[in-house]
Amino acid sequence: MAGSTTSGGVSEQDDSPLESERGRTTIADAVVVKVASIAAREVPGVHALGGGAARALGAVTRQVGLGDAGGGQGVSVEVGDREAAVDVTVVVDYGESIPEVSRAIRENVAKRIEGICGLKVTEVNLAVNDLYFPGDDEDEQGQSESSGQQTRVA
Amino acid sequence: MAVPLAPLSALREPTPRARLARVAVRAARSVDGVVETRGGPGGTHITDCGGELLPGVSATAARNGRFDLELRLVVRAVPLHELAERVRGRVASAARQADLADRLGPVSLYIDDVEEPLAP
Repeated sequence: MAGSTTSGGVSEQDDSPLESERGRTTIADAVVVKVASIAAREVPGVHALGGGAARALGAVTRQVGLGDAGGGQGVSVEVGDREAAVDVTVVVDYGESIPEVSRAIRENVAKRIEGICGLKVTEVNLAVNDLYFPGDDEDEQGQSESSGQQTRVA
Repeated sequence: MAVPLAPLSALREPTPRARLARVAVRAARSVDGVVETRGGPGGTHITDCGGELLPGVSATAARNGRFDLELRLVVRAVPLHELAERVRGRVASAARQADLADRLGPVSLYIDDVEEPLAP
């Protein structure tokens, strides 16, 4: 089973709180990804997660019913028995302080993963991929409608 | 002279292993915070209990006559250590009520997925 086994640079330690005489608890990596994803999106100033390609792919998969809104787009994790490292790619709303938003993301992601999964978060690496300007969506929609009309005409 | 065959229903009678799996999966689902049990990729965690398919549980015989249980869960975004202990407690209690306590071994949990946004 893929789960909270050691990978990458995350160290494995004994006496994990997830292991007891009554049985072992294994948390799938996908669970940690989802918790980190939701935690990052809770922060004011975060417009979206993921790079342009990931967001475009996510939009398409949601349109055809293959994706969900709480997916792990823009988030990857390395999970050990007791620790986790998280990489997050975000789009920040224009006008927000990127250092402040970054600090809030780090705090919230660490708090949520530690509180829910019981894993110590060793690092939260952030990449601010883009800035979102109000009206960007309208422009994209307008362009897409316009290109759609052109396609039909052609 | 024809040998009388056992009725088909007797062949489908759940074994202690299957009964323990059924007790465990029902107990786990009754815990607040557990959304469902899930059979896993390829149905690796499905137990046939006298014709009733139980997704999300497997029971493996151990040398001491007990069965090691594995439960595969989809849960809400709640603290998972505490939830795991509640599930184990509920399974142990249900096994006692079903007179299967002496067959219950360690209960391993696999948190397969989490649902619902986090509470503020």
